[in-house]
Amino acid sequence: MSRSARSASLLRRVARSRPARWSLVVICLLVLAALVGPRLWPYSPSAQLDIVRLKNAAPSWSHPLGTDQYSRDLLARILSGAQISLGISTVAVALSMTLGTMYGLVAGYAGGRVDTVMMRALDGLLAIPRVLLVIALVTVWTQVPLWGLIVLIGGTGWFGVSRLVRAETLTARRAVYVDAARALGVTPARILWRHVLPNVLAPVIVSATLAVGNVIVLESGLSYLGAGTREPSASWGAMFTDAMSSSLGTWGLLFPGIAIVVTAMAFNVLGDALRDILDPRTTSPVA
Amino acid sequence: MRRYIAARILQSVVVTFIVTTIAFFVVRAAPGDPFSYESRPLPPAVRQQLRAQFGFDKPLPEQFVRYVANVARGNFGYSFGKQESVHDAIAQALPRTLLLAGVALTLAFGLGLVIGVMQAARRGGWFDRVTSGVLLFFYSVPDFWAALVLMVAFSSWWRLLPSGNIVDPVMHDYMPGWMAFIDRARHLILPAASLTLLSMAAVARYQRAAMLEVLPSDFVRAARAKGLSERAVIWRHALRNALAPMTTLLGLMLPVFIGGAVFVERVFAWPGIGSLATDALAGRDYDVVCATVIVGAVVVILGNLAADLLHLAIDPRIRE
Repeated sequence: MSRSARSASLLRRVARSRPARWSLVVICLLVLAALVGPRLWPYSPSAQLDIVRLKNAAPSWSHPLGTDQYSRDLLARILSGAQISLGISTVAVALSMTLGTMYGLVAGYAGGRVDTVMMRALDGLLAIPRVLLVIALVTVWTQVPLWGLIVLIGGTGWFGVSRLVRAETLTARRAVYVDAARALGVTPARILWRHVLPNVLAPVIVSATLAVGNVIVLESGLSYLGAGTREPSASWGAMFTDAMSSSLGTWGLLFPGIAIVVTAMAFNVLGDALRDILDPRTTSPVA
Repeated sequence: MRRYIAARILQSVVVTFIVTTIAFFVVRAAPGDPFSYESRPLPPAVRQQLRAQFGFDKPLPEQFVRYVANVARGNFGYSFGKQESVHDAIAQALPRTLLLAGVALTLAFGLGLVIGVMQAARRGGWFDRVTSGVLLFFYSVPDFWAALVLMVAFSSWWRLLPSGNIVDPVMHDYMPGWMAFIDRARHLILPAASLTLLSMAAVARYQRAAMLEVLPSDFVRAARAKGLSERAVIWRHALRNALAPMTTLLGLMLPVFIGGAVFVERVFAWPGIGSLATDALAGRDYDVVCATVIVGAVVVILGNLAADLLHLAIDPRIRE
């Protein structure tokens, strides 16, 4: 089956499952909102409209989600926050998945002592709660720029997936087609890329989908702890932190929360559906 | 079996060493040290002397060996933020985090298990669908947000429970024994509930999947054919065989509990390991951050060891 035919059949199978269909629709809408929303909505996310009359305003016709404590329009901030939150999480997850897949492929294919050493190191990395590791990294890195945050989140999220990839590689390595390729004198790098990688991708796709939801939640948590994005690039998490510094129970606390939960749920549902389709054996709920 | 246990313990020690190495290099290999922090205005001579006093002027490998030797003796360095040894700060904070995470873990596994079994018993029924949706919601909610919502609802609107801290800061010392205990319990409810809600979903889903795997087995059919009630079949025969995978989950979930505790502790001002880490983040307290990484990981490693031994006890098949 050619590559495009394979992905078309995957799409068809995804479309057949109802939860997957709905979550895909939600994700597409979110991406669309992030891409064109800020252009269409007249208010700027950073403009302070009227600090006297429009401070912490409730939702109204002109400001459907209300305003924050600096009288900035919350819908505009949610839309531009979508760009940042989705952007951070997709790039970070892409980084994690690349690192994790490479590590797992190398460990699984090399086998022997290399594999043992690489797996012990991974045991250590997996034992450290991710939040604590990120906190440690942010502490030594005085002012974390946006790309730095992406690298931190991406660089601490690949341990689980590399273990999955290694397990799959161990099986694929023993397959006849790999032996055949080796007998033909194909280089290990090319065997990994052409023959092993396509066969270990299923758990990577599932993990990646689930990880996007996780990372959006993680990023908001980091903002809450004071380790996330900073002004003026406000992610949903940073909006929270803003709202919290003024008072509890404002609209600024509610709407970013809804945005995060809806996004995370959509990715979690899609990830589950993909797992059922691609990888029915594993049942692990922890990505 | 004894060899397996010994090997497993040795492995835990090795992983602890690896974690220590990672923590050291993450923190120390970064440019700068506690004394180069801009907002700590020190004359250069004093800075130099402090560096020498705390061994920061030594080459990195030497610092590393010293650090490992110190950690092995329980010496994690000095907290400049708290003005005490990190060991003492950890010794105070760790039991609180273990209490919070332990209570939440017990509740999450207990409730999650029951829900998962009930879901699997009537797969696709209304209970299965409703609880799956609700649990998925909680699974997707940021930890601190759920904690904040609970806090706002139960302590600022309804004023039923305290909003933070582990005991009443003023009255606790004057309470008689039983009231002091109730005071502690009341302070524990909201943080533990937040952590439980967030992690229950994973347990329930795992248990549901494990049950669904077991239910089509022959022994389940035999139990039904024997005329046992459905309840006995599910709860006594099927559940027992679907329990062993839960020990694996216990190991997987521990980092989740510790990580969740970081946020929950912050929201409820619960002075545990998580609060220690976030305070250290704000004050750039290197040794503390390093120590929280190691201690958090050691909790996970020990928990994993316990989970494996538990698996050994539950599942006679792997005992040989």
